[in-house]
Amino acid sequence: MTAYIARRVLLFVPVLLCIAVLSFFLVRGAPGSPFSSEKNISEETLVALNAEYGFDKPLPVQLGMYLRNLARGNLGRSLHYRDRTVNDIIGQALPVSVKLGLFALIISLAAGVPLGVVSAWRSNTAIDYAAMTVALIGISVPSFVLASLLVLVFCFLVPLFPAVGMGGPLSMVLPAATLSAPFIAYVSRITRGSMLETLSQEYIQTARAKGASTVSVLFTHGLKNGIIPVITFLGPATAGILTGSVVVEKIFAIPGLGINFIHSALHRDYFLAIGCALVYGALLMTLNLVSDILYGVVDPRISYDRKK
Amino acid sequence: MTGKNERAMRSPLEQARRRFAKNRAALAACLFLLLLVVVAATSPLFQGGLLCDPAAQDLSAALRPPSASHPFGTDALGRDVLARTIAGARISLLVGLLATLVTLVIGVAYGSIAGFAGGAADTIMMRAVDVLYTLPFIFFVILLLSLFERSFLMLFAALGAVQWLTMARMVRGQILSLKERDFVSAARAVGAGPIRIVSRHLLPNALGIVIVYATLTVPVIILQESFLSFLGLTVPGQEHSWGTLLSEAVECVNPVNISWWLIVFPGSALTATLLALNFLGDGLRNALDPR
Repeated sequence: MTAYIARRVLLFVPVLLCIAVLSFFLVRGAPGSPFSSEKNISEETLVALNAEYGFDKPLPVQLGMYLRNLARGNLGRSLHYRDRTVNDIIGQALPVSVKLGLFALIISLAAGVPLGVVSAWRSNTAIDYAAMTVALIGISVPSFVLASLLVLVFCFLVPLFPAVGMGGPLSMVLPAATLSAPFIAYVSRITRGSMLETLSQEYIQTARAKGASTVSVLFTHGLKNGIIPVITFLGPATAGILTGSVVVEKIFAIPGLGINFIHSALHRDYFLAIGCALVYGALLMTLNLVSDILYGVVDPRISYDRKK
Repeated sequence: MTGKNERAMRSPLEQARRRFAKNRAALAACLFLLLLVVVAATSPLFQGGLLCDPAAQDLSAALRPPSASHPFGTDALGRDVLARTIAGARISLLVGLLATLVTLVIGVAYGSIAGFAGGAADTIMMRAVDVLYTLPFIFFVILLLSLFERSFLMLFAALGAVQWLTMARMVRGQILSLKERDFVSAARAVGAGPIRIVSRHLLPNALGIVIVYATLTVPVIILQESFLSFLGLTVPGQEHSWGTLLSEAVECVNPVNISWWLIVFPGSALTATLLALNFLGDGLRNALDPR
């Protein structure tokens, strides 16, 4: 297991390097200058600014400088917020996004798993059809449509929640609900499918015959096997929640990583943009690894050690 | 007796057609999409008559709720929301179809080469796909579209470039299992070259899967396009899509001015289209690929 994890973590390096180099050439190859938005900028100031950030050197030299700093964990300085480093900005934004993402993930599991179990238990009944239709709609409604509707109803028509910003826990409810909607749907569909298979197995019959209650049969005996596909889905799900948070953060004006990424791209804040892309890449890979490890833990048939 | 014989004689395509016809959800989705395409394609003919001109502004009638003359209401510049929703369908569907074509061409070519070549070439090509899968592509697309001068070609290339990976994997898997079959050996024995084997013997047999995944790619691309235009990354001079409509709507709706129709109608059009495409894709999968 340790060897497997080490191998996977080692693979982070080339992928992150790939992301860094690709996004570096994307942002530096683009026309326009990050300083062009400044008012009445004089020729000398421009030269000085370019020299300050090293933009007067050839591209490969700049890339070398960037990668050298990156290896030390230094993501450079923001071009838009002059007095702040990228590490500082990301350090402030990342916890916000992580909190939002975790909240959404918990909602997805807490709502999706029971929904799927009940659908499987009462399969091909009105309850099942209703739950699965709602799930299909949940998958098809784009997050920004859902978010706009939620804001319309719960902030403007019935003012229960604040429309923007990160205040108390209430301000998290609508963004997290938006973000988790498609994943509640996916999780319940996956749970339903795997529970249908599990519930038809003989050990479930045995548990029933022993007189175990329905709740115990479904959630203790059944779910132990039925949850495995859901755990494999956690990797892609968190990846989807991360990407989805870009749009949700923009709508609800949440100062997270996503909104910083969008703004940095629009303002040509080169280093912040690369930094955000790198952090997203690292998060995605870590989450996929965690989900693969969990998969091995819950299903003892899976072994990650190479066969001798 | 005769019934049994008839069933045995039905071609696979006929069987698939019958399975599809039994799926009412997929049929309804198919009808809805056909209707949408016809309405979107012919809408310029009705402009000025049945439909308002989507670009015609009337500031004296701005932000009016749905009424007989404007069934979907009007927006902040007094433009008819129904006409704009239909015009938005044109661009959203067009982008969805064209970008899917891009994924189709790249994915099928890449997947069939990897699957047919096999061995080291296959390993290298599929490992590259694995690595590309781990890259957060949507962020590159956002970077690309926000930093460079946006053009339609770039939009298609960017959206297609994200989605071809799954197609390549599917096609490669199909080719890999098909190429071991006897009819391929037979074709090879009578002297068919690799290009002929792939194009005449392998790909036609993988067509079902390709059609299913292409159908399921269209909603993903429509969603991504609306996502990008919602973020403001539209091509300059581009006609508005559903995403732009919604992003304008969100800008102008506030507690004082709850113009719900600006969000509800284009949002429902987008959702219904995505739902229909997903139903159609699932129906096609059940019809063409019964396990």
